[in-house]
Amino acid sequence: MKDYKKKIHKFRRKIRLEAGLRAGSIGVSAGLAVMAALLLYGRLSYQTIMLSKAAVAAVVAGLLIALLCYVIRFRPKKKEVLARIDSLGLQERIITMEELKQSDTLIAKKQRQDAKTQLEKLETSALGIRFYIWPVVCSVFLAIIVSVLIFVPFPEKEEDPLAVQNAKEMAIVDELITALTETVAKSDIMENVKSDLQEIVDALAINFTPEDSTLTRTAKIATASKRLDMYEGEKQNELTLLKQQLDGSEEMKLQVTEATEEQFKLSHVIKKMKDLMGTSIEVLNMVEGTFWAPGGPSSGTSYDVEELPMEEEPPEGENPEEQEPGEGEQPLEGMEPGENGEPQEGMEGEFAGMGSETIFDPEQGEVSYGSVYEEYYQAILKALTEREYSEEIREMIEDYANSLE
Amino acid sequence: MVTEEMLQVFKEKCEGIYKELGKDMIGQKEVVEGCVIAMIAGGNVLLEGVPGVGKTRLVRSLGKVFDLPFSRIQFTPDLMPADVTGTNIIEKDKDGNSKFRFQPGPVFTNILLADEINRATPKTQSALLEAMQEHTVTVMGESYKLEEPFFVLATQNPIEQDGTYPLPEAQMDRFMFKLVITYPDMEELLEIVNITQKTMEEIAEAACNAKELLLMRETAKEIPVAEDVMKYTMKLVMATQPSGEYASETSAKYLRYGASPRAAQALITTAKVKALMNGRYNVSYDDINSLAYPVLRHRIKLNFEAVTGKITADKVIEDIIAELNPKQGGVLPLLKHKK
Repeated sequence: MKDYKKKIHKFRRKIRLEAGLRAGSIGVSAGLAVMAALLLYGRLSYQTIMLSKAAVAAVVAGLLIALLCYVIRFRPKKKEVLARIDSLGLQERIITMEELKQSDTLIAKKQRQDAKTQLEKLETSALGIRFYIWPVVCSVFLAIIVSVLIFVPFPEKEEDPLAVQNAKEMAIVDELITALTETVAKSDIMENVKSDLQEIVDALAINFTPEDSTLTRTAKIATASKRLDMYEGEKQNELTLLKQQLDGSEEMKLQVTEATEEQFKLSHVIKKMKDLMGTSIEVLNMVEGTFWAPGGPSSGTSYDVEELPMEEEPPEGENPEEQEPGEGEQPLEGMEPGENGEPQEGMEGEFAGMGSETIFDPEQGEVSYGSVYEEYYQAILKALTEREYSEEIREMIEDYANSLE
Repeated sequence: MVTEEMLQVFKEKCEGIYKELGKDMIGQKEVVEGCVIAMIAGGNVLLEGVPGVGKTRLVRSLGKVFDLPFSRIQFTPDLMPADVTGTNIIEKDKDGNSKFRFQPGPVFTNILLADEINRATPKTQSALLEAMQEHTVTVMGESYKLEEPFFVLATQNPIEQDGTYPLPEAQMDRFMFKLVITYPDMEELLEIVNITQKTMEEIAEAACNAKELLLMRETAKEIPVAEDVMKYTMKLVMATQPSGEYASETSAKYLRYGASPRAAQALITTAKVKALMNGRYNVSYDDINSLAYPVLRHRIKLNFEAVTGKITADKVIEDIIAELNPKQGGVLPLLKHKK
């Protein structure tokens, strides 16, 4: 008589298998849907989504949903199992037997006997596996979509050239800010001077917006360069005032010496920063396709946003080498170049040769391309060696320089 | 308490009843089965059919098979209630004094055939109400108990509608079953003619008596009903209520009102009998679904849309069952009226 329990157990196993298959089919469908969604997202946003990651996400999602479906919806309860067995032609004998299992009446016993007899005649194979067709159809459909997304090449995104240029220019600007900040941080000048310089750098950084044109960006850099010149000038004036207070005492001499040394260091740092700015302006112009004055912002000129300043030719008859320094560029007292342009005593070494250099003969009124190109090319090479550029920028600069030859 | 002997009696008597009824009734298996189930369950039956299909013969055969006294009332428009229940008559005793004596009417029997019940006036039809439900008759304030078992098998002719009085809903609800007798097919007709050429009298013999019938009734009452089957039965009955909580789409669309709680009682009671007759010791969904037609078809009222759309009560019941769909395998409409 205990055979009927074994038989019920067999039926229960089969029904649980059916429930598992149903949940699994829905899980497969869900997993494929997740994978298709991820791949489609990647396609539409022109991002590369790794197939392995999408597959892992699909497997995890599918397993989770299958488990939830089984536990919440499909896991067969005992009563459902018995009702399912009854649906095979037993006409509610099994569920009635289950309800009467505690009863001792003749009818209850007869009923149990009748139910067991009928159950033993029933084969487990009589219970078919009922499957949902829609998850299978969905899975096939989604599998086709996933296959298309994986194997069919999609057209590349047509990039907006202006957006590309803007992105490149913003990258250049970011690199400039980073380089300026590093230069200030690594310098061995006084802390208060460092913070002043950093303020100028920070003011430049927040001044840039993605909507700026190339011209605006170069103008902002040039203005910041001008600010550096003004700052240097202010410090030079302070030194001059200090020197005027020399009274011959050793203490004062020491102060002046220290102040002079600080001024040398400041000038060196500012020159580095201006060189960085100048290079960035040149690179921006290369990216945008315009040509900038070879002197760049080192000449101390600030530039308007609206129009590009033209290179100023020296007045006829004047030797640019003999020109007085421009506004804001008063030579350091005690640091004026000598009659022959050689640096002052005490200005050897790294601070030597701080005067401007001329590249054209004003008497002739024209300049050879070869000399302009050569010097320009050398300036580019020097800038490339002085600091780090990203590979993309470096290649672009080199290509531009080579194209000018 | 049911004993083995009671179960054995039930089985043997059922076999004998069908065997004997088969001698007089050719075909109409669903109707015969319905009548037997109703009699064992203790209910009344309304037989509907055109003239000459064997309604009266069936009732007379049932009387013979169950060995029960049988009375027949031919309902006419001029039939009075007293003609059904009986009345007090004045008679003189031996001393010459007048006194009332109750003269029982034809209702005082075990099986009453109320022929063409829809031809009598509602007043006369209502005279049967108390007898059908409570098995008592009240005349001039005095109640008289009818002998058990008591059955009313009423007939009505669906063709002749002129001069008829539709049965009131209260009376219709007291019929456990409404069975529809249809025309016999060719083979059945041939057999009927062959038999009746020999004799028109019923040749069935008694297969069961009153005491055994009551015993069978008690036996059937003990058959268990699973909780799910019971709930399904309640849902089925409540689904016929067009504005109820469990109203089905079909009932909302085609019914004016649905079945009463008597329908649920009738379904369970008769399902137990049917289950035991089929050798089963529990009620199944199939039992309920097959008995739903005779139990419900006279208790639900079709609305105008159903009538104009020629939607029958059986169709409505079929659709309601399909909506509830208790099983994947579908329904076995053993007692469904065939068009």
